[in-house]
Amino acid sequence: MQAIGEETIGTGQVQAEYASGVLTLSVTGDIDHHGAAALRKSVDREIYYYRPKLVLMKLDGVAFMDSAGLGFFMGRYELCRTLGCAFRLLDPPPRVLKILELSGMDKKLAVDKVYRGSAKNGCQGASEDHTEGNEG
Amino acid sequence: MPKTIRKHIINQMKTEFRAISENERLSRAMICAMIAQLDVTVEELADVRCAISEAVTNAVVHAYRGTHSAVGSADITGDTFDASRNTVYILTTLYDDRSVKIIIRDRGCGIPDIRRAMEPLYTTDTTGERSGMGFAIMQSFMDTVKVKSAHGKGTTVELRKKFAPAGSASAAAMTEEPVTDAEDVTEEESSAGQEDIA
Repeated sequence: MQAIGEETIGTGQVQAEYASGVLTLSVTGDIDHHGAAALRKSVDREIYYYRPKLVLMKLDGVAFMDSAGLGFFMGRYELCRTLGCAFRLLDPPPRVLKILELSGMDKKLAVDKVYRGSAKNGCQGASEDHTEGNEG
Repeated sequence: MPKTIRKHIINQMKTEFRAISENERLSRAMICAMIAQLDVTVEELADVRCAISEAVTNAVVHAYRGTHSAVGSADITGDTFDASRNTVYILTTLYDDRSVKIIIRDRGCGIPDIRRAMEPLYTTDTTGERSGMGFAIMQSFMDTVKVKSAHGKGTTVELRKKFAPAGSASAAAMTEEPVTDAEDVTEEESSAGQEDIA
């Protein structure tokens, strides 16, 4: 298991920002089985540290995701539920959204589908599917 | 039981690597680089990339469970590393009808109940960190998914996909991809002695 900050280029990385009860976690890179363990560690550490009212997981920088990502989101959702905070996914790229929809997880988790497009990956287009982004 | 089909192999690649999670990305990259020779769309390639990742992850996570508890460098550098038991084999074949066949094989513990393993949301994981969507994703992103497994001998997953004609209008319209769930062929055989990859 890799320590935080030691991820090799491409594996999932997370950056945390906290302001007035809202913890924004921007995930970049790949969310696969290999990277999920390190991501989980970083993300959970931030959640435990800040104990926010709302966790926003920003996904527009995700270059690749498979079903390990679904497990990762579910795990964080459950953690947030246990800690009594809301959990939302924000800006999933089309590929990520496709997998969320395929699994039906877009209905279980709160997803704000506003993708503006990250410059660096091959995901196309922005979807104009505005869902209200307030606390759920 | 290979059927006689009128298509020809235009390229083939055999890869084998240690069943460690570091190689999940490596296998995706290698195989997608090869498939890109068919001039496929970004969307098609992304589908295949994800399906490969699911199959390889299954092999890494499940196949050799218990046989190499320390999935670490110690096992790999040590003299005692048994390559025949900790390896994932992939055979990728490109055909001239713009289709690909990817066979992902391990010599691990096997899947006791394939039908159950392929059910969406079914997982042996108890930590709540795994989704159980691996096979469901393979099935929706590929044309066919076939699984053969034998207890103690290993599992073979065969993924096939035919790509849209190069440069065609349908290839350009990446957003509306027909979902061919009904055509998914799921075949299970418990007597998997077949050596697809020699």
